[in-house]
Amino acid sequence: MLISIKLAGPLRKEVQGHKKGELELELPEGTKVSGAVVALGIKDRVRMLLLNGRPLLDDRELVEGDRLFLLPPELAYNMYVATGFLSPMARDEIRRKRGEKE
Amino acid sequence: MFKILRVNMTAQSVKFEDVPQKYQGLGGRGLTSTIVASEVDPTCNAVGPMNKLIFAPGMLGGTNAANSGRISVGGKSPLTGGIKEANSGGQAGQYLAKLGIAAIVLEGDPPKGKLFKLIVGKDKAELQAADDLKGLGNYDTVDKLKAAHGEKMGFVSIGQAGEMLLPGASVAFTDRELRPTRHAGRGGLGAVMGSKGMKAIVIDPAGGEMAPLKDPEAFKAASTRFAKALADHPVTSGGLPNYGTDILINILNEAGGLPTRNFSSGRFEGAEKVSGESLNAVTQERKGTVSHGCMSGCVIKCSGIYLDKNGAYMSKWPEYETVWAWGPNCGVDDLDAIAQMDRMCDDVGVDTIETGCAMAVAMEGGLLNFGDAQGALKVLAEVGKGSPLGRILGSGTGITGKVFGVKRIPTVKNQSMPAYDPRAVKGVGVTYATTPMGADHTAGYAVATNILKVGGDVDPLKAEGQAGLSQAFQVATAVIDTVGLCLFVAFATLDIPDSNQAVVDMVNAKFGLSLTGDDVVALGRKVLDVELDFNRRAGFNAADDRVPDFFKREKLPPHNVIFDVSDADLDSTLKW
Repeated sequence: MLISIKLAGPLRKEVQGHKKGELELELPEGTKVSGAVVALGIKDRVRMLLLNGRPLLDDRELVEGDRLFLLPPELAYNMYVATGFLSPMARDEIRRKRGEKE
Repeated sequence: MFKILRVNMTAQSVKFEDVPQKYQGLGGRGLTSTIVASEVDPTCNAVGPMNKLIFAPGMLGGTNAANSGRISVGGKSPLTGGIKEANSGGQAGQYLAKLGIAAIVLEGDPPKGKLFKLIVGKDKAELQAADDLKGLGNYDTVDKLKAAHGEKMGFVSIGQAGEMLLPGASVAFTDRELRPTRHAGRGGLGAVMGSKGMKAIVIDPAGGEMAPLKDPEAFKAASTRFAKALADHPVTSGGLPNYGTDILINILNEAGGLPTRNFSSGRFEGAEKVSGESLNAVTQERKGTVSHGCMSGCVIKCSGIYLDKNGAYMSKWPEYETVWAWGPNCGVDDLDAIAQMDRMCDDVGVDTIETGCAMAVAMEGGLLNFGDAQGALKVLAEVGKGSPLGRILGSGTGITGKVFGVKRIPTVKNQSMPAYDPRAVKGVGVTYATTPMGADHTAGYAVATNILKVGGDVDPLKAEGQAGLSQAFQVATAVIDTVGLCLFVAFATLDIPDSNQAVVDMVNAKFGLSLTGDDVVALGRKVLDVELDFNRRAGFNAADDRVPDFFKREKLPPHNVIFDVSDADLDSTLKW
């Protein structure tokens, strides 16, 4: 399945083949959001993300035509954005650090 | 020790006095709001003799705490009619703090038609005539002041807009290179300064000293921890220095919350062209400066220097708010034009947000087409000339919208909304509605508590939980504004909670206090209570804590959402 990706700021230097941060990614059916991030080679570099322009609480499977906007930790500013658009992976990591149940 | 400098324009007198008990233990916004609430009749004419203009560095001013040089400017706002604190970087905050000045209070009524400048130094202050500065923009004003007083000064000034008492007028502060590019922008306090006949304040820092510390060892330890947190955190050490605030263009655009063409859509097709990524790229190509600090002691350096196509200085990096107001909200995708608009706003001395939004409503009203950058530049030039059209634009979004018969005017308490559509980022919408400041995004910008517990699962597109989030942000921001720190230090708190504790420890070490986290929350609430009380006495009530009704009816593309936070939730936001 084909999904579109937009990369923010420094991630544009860490991923090849994009034009002004935009690229398309071919992924196996059933790939989750976390899997897409791994496929781009930027695991652990995505702090916030939007799926089709919306925040995402939990990791989930992508479908054809989905669009992911990916932001690294350096760009976690404006409080509403930094807290409201945390990636599910970042939320899990924060909960793990605090010893909370998932 | 610390003194208040009272400048009476009726008597033409200056006087240093002790800080009275009721004003002690405060700085920055806490001090300006307390003085305004105590000494200004809330029903007075904001450009009349009964209003006052207060300048105050923060509680940590004059120390070597990183990013502690902010200055607060306070008074009754000619734009909103309520209490106002506008905040700025630049050098004035640190200079005043090191001179031992807790606040400058401008009061009274100047002789008609005369302009003055205030010269302030170590244990000295003098009012001088400044009629030679009449009608000058801030850049020319500063050039003349440099020639007269030398270059080892900090300058505060108003442009033509402040002289004309326009409700969109700002107060300009020079940065380290003596450019008048940092502004206390919101709420028309430049008009209050103009109403006092004060064209400029010249601050001579010679003889200034670091502020005394009750426990220097403890202070040093806490400020080291604080500086380390800012140096370690990726936002304050990586994102902000390289991309500035303008990186938010693409973020809000993807989120569908970037107000476009007078808040008619949440996405702009030209967003990438005016994004922080583009700003960084064009600056590097033209050999401008990517990372630039607006004040001494700043370790974040989120600003930059923008050069034109020929490599000549145009302006400092326009902020996200400026790029948005004159860019997407006006349908403009030309960064060079926007930088020029930024420079013109700085020069004539108007709030870029208020005036850009005014331009957008004028476009909706048919004055120009959306996207007409050159036309917008021409209209903006009218402000400095004082033509009727220029005066309308310089009076802000509310008045401009009415004059042009626009039905969709995006203001709260007559102050224009900034760069987050309240329908798509609902927490910001709650802040717009409920802050005593009028529609204001920086009023709810920081966190003190473990926000991820409170806000980590709050969806910006849904109404649930937004009032609680806004309350937490507003209380924390009131503290940061009172302490005198740049708001951006708060981003480090998300991952390094100790950075917040370090701030409390620095305050305790400076003043010999033992404030706890609860005391800090109490301080933030107290500042807000003072402001809310002033506004009530000025005639505001719950009906003023609402967004314009079109936000509750018109669905914002692409998510097709409305602002649906209930009135009950709004009314509960600042109740404790």
